[in-house]
Amino acid sequence: MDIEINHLRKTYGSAVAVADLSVKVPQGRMLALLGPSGCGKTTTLRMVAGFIEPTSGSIRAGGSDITRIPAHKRDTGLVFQNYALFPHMSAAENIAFGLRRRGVGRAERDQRVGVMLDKLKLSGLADRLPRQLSGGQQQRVAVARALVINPSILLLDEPFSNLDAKLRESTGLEMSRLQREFGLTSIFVTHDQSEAMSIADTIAVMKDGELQQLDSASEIYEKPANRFVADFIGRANFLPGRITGRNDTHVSIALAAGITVELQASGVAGSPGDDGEVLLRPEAVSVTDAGPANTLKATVEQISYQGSIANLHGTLSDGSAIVASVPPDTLRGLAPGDAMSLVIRANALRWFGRRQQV
Amino acid sequence: MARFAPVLLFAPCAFAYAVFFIWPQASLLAMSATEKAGFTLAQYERFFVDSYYWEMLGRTLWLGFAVTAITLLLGVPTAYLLARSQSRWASFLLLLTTFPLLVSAVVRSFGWMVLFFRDGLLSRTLLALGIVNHPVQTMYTMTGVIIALAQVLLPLMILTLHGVFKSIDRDLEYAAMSLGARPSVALGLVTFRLASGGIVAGSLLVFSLAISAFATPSLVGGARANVMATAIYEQAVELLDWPFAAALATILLVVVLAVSLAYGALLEGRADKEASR
Repeated sequence: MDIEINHLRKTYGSAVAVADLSVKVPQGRMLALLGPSGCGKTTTLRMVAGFIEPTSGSIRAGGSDITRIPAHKRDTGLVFQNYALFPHMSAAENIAFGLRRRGVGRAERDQRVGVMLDKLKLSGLADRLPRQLSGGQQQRVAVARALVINPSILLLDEPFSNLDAKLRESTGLEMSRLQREFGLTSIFVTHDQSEAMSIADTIAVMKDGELQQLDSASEIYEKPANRFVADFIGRANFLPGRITGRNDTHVSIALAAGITVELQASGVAGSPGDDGEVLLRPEAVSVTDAGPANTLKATVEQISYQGSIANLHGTLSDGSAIVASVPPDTLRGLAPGDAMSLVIRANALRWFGRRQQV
Repeated sequence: MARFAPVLLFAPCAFAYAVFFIWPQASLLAMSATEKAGFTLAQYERFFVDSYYWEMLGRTLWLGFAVTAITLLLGVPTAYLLARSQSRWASFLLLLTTFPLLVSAVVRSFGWMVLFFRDGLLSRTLLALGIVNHPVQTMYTMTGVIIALAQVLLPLMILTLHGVFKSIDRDLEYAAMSLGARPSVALGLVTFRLASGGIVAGSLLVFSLAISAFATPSLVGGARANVMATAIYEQAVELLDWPFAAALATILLVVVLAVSLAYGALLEGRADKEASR
């Protein structure tokens, strides 16, 4: 069942929670609503679930308008951030709740609950109350409870934010496996960009109730639509600069740090004389031997070793800060206070003019 | 030292309870069952053979149940809405409902007297609306006592229930709805089920305060609406019959305890049955 959100808007008095959101999620796909808190992502999810009535706009599921359909008549499973397990019911009773409301008979109910318990590795915990379960187990009960009713739409509200980092990744992958297995159309709310990027097919980046960019993870990371998206997704260096020349294919930008870079003309809106910033991802920077032309000269401030990579924090000649993520074996014994030369991959650069920096 | 800390922290309260509650209650019990010759149940016999006192006990219990029912009926929706409201007026409204607590029960009962008298506001309004064709006297009736006492005790019910509903995550209702429960079912199976402990607590609080209330029954009810508390006062202060007053007090205490236990067990049992259904 595909989901189609058209010009969805929700205001509380003069406060705009969601400004004008239009998104489509094709059958069987997962959309992540990603943004900082207060960006309207949770409000959007709750409008799809039917808990909040939109001020205007429509929500369609499988072609029919569900905007005014009450929550209990929508075909949606929902996993809450705090799981919202019924504290007075055992794990099995929690999972059986939706089947009971649908009048499923006892034998079938027990069988379907058993299947879910197995599938989510909860066998043996059926009779435990939520408070007797660990966070990860509670989360799996919440997922089982949402899936057992065979919804065609699965909504996830920050489902992993209460799990520790290690569990988060494995649960995320498990979730995306289940979502594919059940062929569910899914909307998933998160403020964690790595979560969104790892399991969603499409990401909608939101800020202050407005959609900033709707794209695949790689497009959003590599071609962010604006400075906010660039800054919110992954780590970013912003180097101030000025456009010095433009021809049919390339744009030359002089960085305040002392070098000139060439960008594809198609990706740059702006004309010579314009001031702005160049986005440089930390992994597009590498350490090189001193000497070659067009290298950035910087002073090492700090090196933070992360195992597979090391984050090299430095200061450029114009005083701005830069972070480079480099393989540890390319550090060549650098220590804080040393001078270093950095080369950058020009095809990884993006230009944001001054006017765009809202 | 650390091992004794809990004992030390309990000690002042336990001491105060022992000296100011258990000891006087025990002396009352002793006083009700002794005479010069020693142990006697004469005071209790006097109570149980006289239908006047049975009626009074019945009236007292009726007052307790009626007031509890009215405060529940009015308090549950109010407390629920106040607890769920996102409006910044909600906390102001809650404060407003508790304002009557700042006024003494005596003063509030006087207020009701003004309304209840034969030519008071209530009577005149009913006449003007054509609901009755001669003046009604609500003063000195049990109806009057029940209405006035329900108003006196309503804030306590609302405050208790508000705290209970506030502690129940609204997402639980939403979760139930997303699983196919219509809003009323979600409310019943989840919210009210989880609030049942608090509803019991609020009901018992109101019930025990209602059947031991003195000011409102004696001011609004007078002699026609004699209840246990006013009878105890009469025996102890006006007739100076302390042993009989002590017997009445003991009977009242036993009845309160019995009703509380029964009511608690009833609600708990029902809730358990619902959860397993």
